[in-house]
Amino acid sequence: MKAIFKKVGQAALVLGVATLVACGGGSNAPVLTISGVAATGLAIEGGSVAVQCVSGTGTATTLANGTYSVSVTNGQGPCLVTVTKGALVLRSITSKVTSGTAIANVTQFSDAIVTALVTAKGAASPAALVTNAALVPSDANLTAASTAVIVKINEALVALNQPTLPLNTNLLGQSGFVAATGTTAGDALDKALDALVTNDRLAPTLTNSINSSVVAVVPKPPTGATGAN
Amino acid sequence: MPQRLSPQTANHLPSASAHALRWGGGVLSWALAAQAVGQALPSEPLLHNISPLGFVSAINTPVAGVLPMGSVALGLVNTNPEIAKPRVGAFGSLTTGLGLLPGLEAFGRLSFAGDLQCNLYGANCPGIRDLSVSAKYQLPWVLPLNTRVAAGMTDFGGAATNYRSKYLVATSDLGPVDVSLGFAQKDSAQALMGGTFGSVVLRISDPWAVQYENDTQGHRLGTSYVHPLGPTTQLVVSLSHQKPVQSGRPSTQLGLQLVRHLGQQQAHALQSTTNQGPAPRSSAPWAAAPTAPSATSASAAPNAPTAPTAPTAPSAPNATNATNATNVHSAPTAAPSLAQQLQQTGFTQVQVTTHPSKLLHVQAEPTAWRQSRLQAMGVALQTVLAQSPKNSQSPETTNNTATSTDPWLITLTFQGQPVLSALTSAPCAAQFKAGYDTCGAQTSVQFFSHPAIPEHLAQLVQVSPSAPTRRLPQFELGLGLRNAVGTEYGLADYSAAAELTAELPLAKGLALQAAASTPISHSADFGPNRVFSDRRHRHTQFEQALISYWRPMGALGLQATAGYINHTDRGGQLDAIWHSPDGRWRASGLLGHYTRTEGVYVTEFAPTLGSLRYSVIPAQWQVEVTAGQFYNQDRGWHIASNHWMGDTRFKLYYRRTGVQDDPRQPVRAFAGIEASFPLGPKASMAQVGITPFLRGADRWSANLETKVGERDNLLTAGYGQVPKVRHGLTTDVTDHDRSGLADLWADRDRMRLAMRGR
Repeated sequence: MKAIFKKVGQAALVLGVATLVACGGGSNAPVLTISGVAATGLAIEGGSVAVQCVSGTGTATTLANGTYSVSVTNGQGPCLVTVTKGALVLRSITSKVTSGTAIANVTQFSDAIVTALVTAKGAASPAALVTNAALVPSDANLTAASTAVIVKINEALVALNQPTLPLNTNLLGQSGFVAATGTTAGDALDKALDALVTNDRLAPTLTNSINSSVVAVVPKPPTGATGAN
Repeated sequence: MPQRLSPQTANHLPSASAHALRWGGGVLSWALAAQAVGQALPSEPLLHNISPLGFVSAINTPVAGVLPMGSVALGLVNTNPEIAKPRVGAFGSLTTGLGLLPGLEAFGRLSFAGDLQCNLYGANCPGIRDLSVSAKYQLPWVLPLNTRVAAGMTDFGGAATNYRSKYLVATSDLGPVDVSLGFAQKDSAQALMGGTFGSVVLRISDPWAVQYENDTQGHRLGTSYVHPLGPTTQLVVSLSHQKPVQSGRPSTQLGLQLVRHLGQQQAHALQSTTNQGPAPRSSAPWAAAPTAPSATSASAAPNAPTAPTAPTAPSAPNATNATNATNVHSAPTAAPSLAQQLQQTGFTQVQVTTHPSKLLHVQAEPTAWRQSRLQAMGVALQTVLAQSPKNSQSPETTNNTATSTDPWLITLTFQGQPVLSALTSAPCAAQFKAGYDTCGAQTSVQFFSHPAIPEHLAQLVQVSPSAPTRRLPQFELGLGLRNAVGTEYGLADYSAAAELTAELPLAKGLALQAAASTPISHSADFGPNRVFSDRRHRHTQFEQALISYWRPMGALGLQATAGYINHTDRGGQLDAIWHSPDGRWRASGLLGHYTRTEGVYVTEFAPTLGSLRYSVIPAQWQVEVTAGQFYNQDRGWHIASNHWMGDTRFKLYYRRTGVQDDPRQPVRAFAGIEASFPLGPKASMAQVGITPFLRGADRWSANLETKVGERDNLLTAGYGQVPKVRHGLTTDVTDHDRSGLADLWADRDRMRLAMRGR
């Protein structure tokens, strides 16, 4: 009888622990909100926004001031943001965020960074930056790329006798970015776009230098063998 | 009549052959058997050269010989014979070879040229780091002129295949001269051999040899010297010179190879501890049910040192007997002394019972002997043997007291529940220790792996009184290692952490375990903001905190576990294991559910896996297939070939898993190798009086894998993971998958060595 009580006691202990552990989970599905401004110097109105995250997707349309907002349930960043209007296609990318709000401004600058990241990572396409786990850029990669590109943009602005951008300008996720509309003026970042974008494109020399600078600071993914214990 | 085998032949090969022959009777079994008998013994020169290309060779061209099964070879050569040497930086090849099976060797090669540390993606870092696999199989037939034939391939695996080729070679052993002729087909432009190649090896003496070869691109003359570093270890030094010297390539080649025969260490250790002749070997004694002994007389066994009566399993005690047994436990003449001896040698929860049927039953938890159950059993048997009456021939008996010829049942437990029993007697244990497999008409020691134990013996175990519980915490030191090999960022990079695991038994089968790690070292590329920084051991953190309960249930072993399986995921899992009666088949299953909470984001993991394993050559070769849903929700299968070489296990595997139609986790295939072995001394520190018990990791393992079947081999992690409970059903209860009776019996020399204090 003593043995039976002992076994019942052991089973109860195991069940109790299992119950305690099982009680820990459960929550409402988190929502990741991606927002920002799409602009070429002028705000892009009516552009189609497609968001593809490491986990989750969403769509939206840009407003008259170029702003957009997309909510992705269970979204997991980084998220690739693509704005399309006619023949114009621009991309941006968010940081590695999993909830709350992430900002992704979509401009020729962000597009040049995404293109350079594709080169730096050896990815087959921009989408591979969020679909291939081995190629997903880290937040450190994005920061390094943005910082390197600011230098190149300022060099181009200096050459045009235009005011330069602060070195801490976030070319991908600057908060409060204001694009010019038919009635309002844009901010410094928007004015830099005005100065450097012609026919919706950056000059090829600037694009090439942006590419080189990003490749220099973002390491390509290694190949070989790996392991752990 | 007892027979004896020489210690040299106690390498399980005849037994392995017999098992292989039984296994299906097909071509593979026949080939294995034929090859096994023909394996070189480590006392002979194993080989005279290993090519940087990755095979046993004359110099750089293959010969038909292969690494003996159970051998490991490490080689460093100062050239890559296929390519020119760069102007700056290092140049050469590192090779690691394994004698996997009779006639089959496999090599991994890491060739390098240029700066070993700079980033190959950079403009100022030209060079090559090529990780590849080669293999050679020697056909089992011996042709006229003592000729062997082998076929092989080089540089398979990885995205860069600079040196890929296939070849066929025949080698005639003509006394002191080996003559080889072969044909190779280039699959890569840079491969060394393309066409007919040949070599002549002249063995001047045991250590010295001279070689000549034509590798299809030039002639090479060389010499090699084999220096024994011990009975199972050899150092091979080779030097060769090429004519004509090809543009940019070094003409002189220097090689160092270390060859160690892990699989025959026990045989040699036995040889060094005894001068006795051959010991008997019975075909499958683990399968024999314990029956009454035959009346074997001394005259029928003239060569045996003694002719003891075989251990006889007593009948199951009835209720009265059980009561008596309990009473006897309180006052057997030798029991207190024996129990104390066992405790002093590292056993806990010791109970010694003399049953009315004269059976001495010893049950003990080998707390200080966790690396190997056979080691623990050997220590226990020797301790009991040392306490037994010296005159093993005396049939003197007294009521309820074990005598010299009465049977012993030694039962080892894990967390208080029986896992392995051995039935023997004092004279038979002595016979076994001396190298004899038989004792009278029966096996000198019969193993019973729980729950596969005959019912009448199981009852004996069950009716034994509960052992006194001494719940001592136990601590295990290990090493966490993450690595990257042969990448663009360096030859080898790593991040290491010290790991401490604590176990606290709570009740029979119930225990708490927790593990923590702290970073100790990493290479530059695992440093902050470097390419492998996200994989670095960053902080001191707990790795696992679990409570688990296991118990045998019929032919099954079952375990329930709950808690944190790693530092972020919590939940639980159920494990089940079934073994066939002889232990050669093992089926197991795992059903788990874990969750990871990051802020409000919750990720669920629901591994559901089934596994089937067959012990093809007991104690040496197992094949295992696992299928289902792995930890990160990737579905697919995993096939592994486990090669045991003594206490070291090499697992070669191929895995194909993923999530269909999900671009984030597409189906991918990986090939890899995992090495596992115990860290530290065989006994825990409690042996020298330090309590609580502290020991090295029972089994430390590390793997290296690469993506295969795609255009790139980008380092990719997260596939094929299995949640592992550090201690419990799948580890300690099954002695790390070595608890099948066939495996135990094939590895019995381990127990002999333990009895001899090795």
